[in-house]
Parts: sequence; structure tokens; C-alpha cells
Amino acid sequence: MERMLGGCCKDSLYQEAVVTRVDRRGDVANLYLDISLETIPGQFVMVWLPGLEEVPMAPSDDDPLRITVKAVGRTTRRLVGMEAGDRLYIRGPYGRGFTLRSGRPLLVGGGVGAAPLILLAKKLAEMGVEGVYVEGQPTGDMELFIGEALELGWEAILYTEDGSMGHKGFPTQYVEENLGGFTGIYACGPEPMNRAVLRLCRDGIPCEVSMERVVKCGVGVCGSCVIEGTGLLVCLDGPVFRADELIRRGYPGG
Amino acid sequence: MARDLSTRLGSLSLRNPLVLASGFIGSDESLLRRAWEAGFGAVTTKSLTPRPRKGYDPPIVVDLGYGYLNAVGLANPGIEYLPRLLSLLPEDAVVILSIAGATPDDFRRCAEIGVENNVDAVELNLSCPHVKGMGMDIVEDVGYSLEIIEEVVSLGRPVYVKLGLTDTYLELVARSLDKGVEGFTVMNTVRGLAIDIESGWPILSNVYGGLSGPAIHPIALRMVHEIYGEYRVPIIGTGGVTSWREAVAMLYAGASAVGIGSYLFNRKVEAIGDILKGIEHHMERKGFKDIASMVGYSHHR
Repeated sequence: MERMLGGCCKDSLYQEAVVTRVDRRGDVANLYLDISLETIPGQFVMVWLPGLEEVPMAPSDDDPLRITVKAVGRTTRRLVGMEAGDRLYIRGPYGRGFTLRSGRPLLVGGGVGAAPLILLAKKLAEMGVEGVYVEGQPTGDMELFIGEALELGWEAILYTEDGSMGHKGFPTQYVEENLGGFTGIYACGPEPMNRAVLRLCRDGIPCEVSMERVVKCGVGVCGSCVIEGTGLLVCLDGPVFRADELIRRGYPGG
Repeated sequence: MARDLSTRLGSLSLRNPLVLASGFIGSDESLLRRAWEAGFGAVTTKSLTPRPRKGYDPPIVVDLGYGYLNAVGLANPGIEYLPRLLSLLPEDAVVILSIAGATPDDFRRCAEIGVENNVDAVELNLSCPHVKGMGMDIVEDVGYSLEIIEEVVSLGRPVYVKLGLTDTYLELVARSLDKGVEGFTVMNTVRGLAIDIESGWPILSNVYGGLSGPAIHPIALRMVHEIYGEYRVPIIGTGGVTSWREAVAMLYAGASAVGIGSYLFNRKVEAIGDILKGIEHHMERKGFKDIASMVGYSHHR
């Protein structure tokens, strides 16, 4: 029966999840849920609020499941405003996640894009890998996972646009200055950050980037999450792409 | 020995019988190119309407296990986007333009732009099950369907009518052949409902959607068989073809080409290579020298 239900879950397509704790920073919230889900970091789940919409989210933890939401539309605004005891409905995980490799990795997250990277750091740490976690946020009070990365025994570096905490500037500055010391780069952030990382990685260091588009169906048919010009779908071919793959398929600015 | 998979669909020559069904990754030029490169014999665009449509909010699809329910809401970039949509396809790509609308004028306007852009055929989506006034209500009204068909046939391009599951479809087939359509795409999805028993809500934001996939295959196969049996016309057999087996059955029932849609749920388009290999292997095993000799094979048994 498991296979019959789209490779998903228990008795139905959606799993009901209850919010157990909310941790808000401005227009961003960490929602801790009462279910666990086996995922590869970088994969996404579809989060459905009946009566509103269904939105894609890459979990920032999977046991128990935690999603990190930024309020951008009516559904995400409702999610950010949730309180303990509220319910939401989850299907997935879907898509391709990051490749877990040993070595000395550099993880670069911008804004809520840091979500899948902290989960990746956790999984890598479980493998005994030690890397560097760099997070970029507009301001210091938006900082999300620096503490968690430090708890893993990793070096963790914060960049803020206004310089109110950590280093002033963008996390790509760290990539530019320290690229040589790493065996691989993993990135997830706003498009300009992803582009900058791709450009810096042109010289062959293994690099994986998680891309964001409007995912509507989540299963590769509606085409809404195409990366323009490349024929690649975020939901089915990604959301995590290898840098060389994006560049070969003509990703603009890559 | 490799078999020749090329086939004729009415006036069209296809390198193989697989046709990308309308609605799947057909509203972006880079995706359409990818579908062609994956090996389809022809690609059908997403149904284009006179003006762009945003479509419905997610959830827009439900994975039922035995099929899929979808209500995308005819989301499309509009017919004016057609030149750009075709811009990355090679010269030899066979393109079927799917169009939808509410009035004969809508269809005519879309088809005219199709003719200007040299599409190989026009498919009339008269049977979308989830947009009021632009789908099933049209195909259920044979007289109104014929008005639309007449407008588009007059432009001189091969016309395929996409049929839905109605009581009157054989009448529509007969009368639209009189109007000069070349063939039929059989069938569209079937209106259905899915309810989430955890929350109690209908899952699709539009509540009702169209059922596709394995669940509807026997129905589509029966309609193809009936139409071919009666009229021996070109048919694109579409509905629940999720392996080479259903593709072969569609050909046997009388389809000259086989539409691929739900197979692409959660699967990269390149996977159609497996269906092509399966058909070829079956031809070798059964001694068919070409696709033409398989079309309608079950009618001779």
C-alpha cells in the first residue's frame, strides 16, 4: 500500500502535523512539528494549509520535522503566524537533495535558504565530517542556525548586510576569500547569491546549489518551476543542482 | 535487428508513435525542446488560450496511486507566446498546437496564430474537465462543438479533436468527420474528486479535477477501439499509457499514435526511451515489421 500512495506515507497522501513550538524572527519562523520524516537534506516537502495553498519547503530538521518559513504570500504569512497546536498537512519528500560527501565542505546559506544547509551540516556531522557553515542575513536579529552549527562542532560564520552582527556584507565574500581551503561547496540562497557562488566555483571545485522557483505540482508536470532556458525542473531535476550541470544547460549568469 | 518505429498519423509523419500529451511540460520553450530531444514523435503544447491564464492555486494535482487527479486551470502563457514557445525546437520537430477557449472566435484566433507559426496540426481541447465554459460543457454540446470545429477546419491545417468521456462522443466523431477534421485525440481526463481524510477537505483548490493515469486506461482503450472500428480514422490514443504494454494495446485498438501524459508524473521525460525500447522489443518478438501493421491489429483477431 505504501507504493500505491505515491511512495509517500501512511494511510493517506498527506500526513497531519501539529505545530509544537514556534520560534519567530521578524517575518521568518521556525515551525517545530510533531512528526518525523526521512529526507535527504535539500529535498522538499509540500506543506498544505487547506483553504489556502500548498507551498514547497526544504526542512531544516527532519527528526522531528522542522520547517523554516518566510512570509512572502498569504499562505506563508499564515504559516509564520502559526502557534503551537495549529495543524498543517505534509506530503513528500520530493526532488533531489545534496550529495553527502566526506572531505572539508563549505556550506553557504542566505536568508531562509540556510534551512536545508543546517540539516545538511547535521547529517554530515553524523558522518564525522567537519566543515564550515556560513550564513548570511539582512540583520543580526534574523540569524537562524549559527548556534546549531557551533553545537555540531563546526566553525560557523555570520554575515549581515547591515553589519549589526558578525561580518558586514554577504556570505559570498567568505567563499571568494577561502574557496581554496575546501573540497566542496553547498549553497542555497537568493538567486544573486547562488549565481555568485556558481561563478566562483567555475574552476572546478565540486559545487551544488539549491534553486528556488514557484513549485506548483511538485511532481514535474506543470512546468511552473522550470529554470528558464535550461529545460530543468526544480521539483524533479532539483531542487539541488550540480554547478556544471546548470552551466552546461545554459543557466544564465552561471 | 532494430525495427522501424516511424508511423503515419493522418497527414503527419512521425519518427515514432509517442506523442507528448497536452498539459505536460508544454508551456515553456526549454521544456518543449527537452521533450523533443527525449525522443517523442510529436509534441503537443499545453492548451493555449487567447489570453494568458494563471491557473489555480496549489494543490493542483493529487497522486492517487492508481492514477492522478489534476486541476491546473488551463494555466498557460497565452497564444501570443507561441512563437517563443516554438523557438528552441529544431526545424523537423512535429508540433501539435493544443488550443482552448470559450467561443468559436477564441478557437479561430488561436488556430490562426498556429497556422502563422506553421504548426503541423491543431488539437482542439474541447473537453477540459475543470474549467467552466472552456471544456466539458463544450464537448457535451455537439452542435456548439461543431461550430468551433468548422471555424478551425476552414484554416486548412490538420485538426484533431480531443474527446472527453461523454455519452455523445460517437455522434460528435461522425459529424466532425463530415466537417473535415483529420482525427481524434482520445481521451481527456475524467472529472473526479479527492478528499483528504485527515483534514476532511477536498484536496484540489478547484475541488473537482480530471482523473488520468492507469485508472482510465481501459476506458480510453475502449473509446479508441470503438472509433477505429467504426471509422478507421487517425487517432492519438491517450489515457493511462504508463509502459510499452499500454502503448502496444493502444496501437492494437486502432491508435496510430500514443499520447504520453501521466507517465511523466514524478518521472523525467527521458524515461520515454523505455517505452520506445519496449515497443521495439515487442515488434521483434511478434514479428511486426512496422507500426502500421500493429494499428488496429485487435480488430483482425
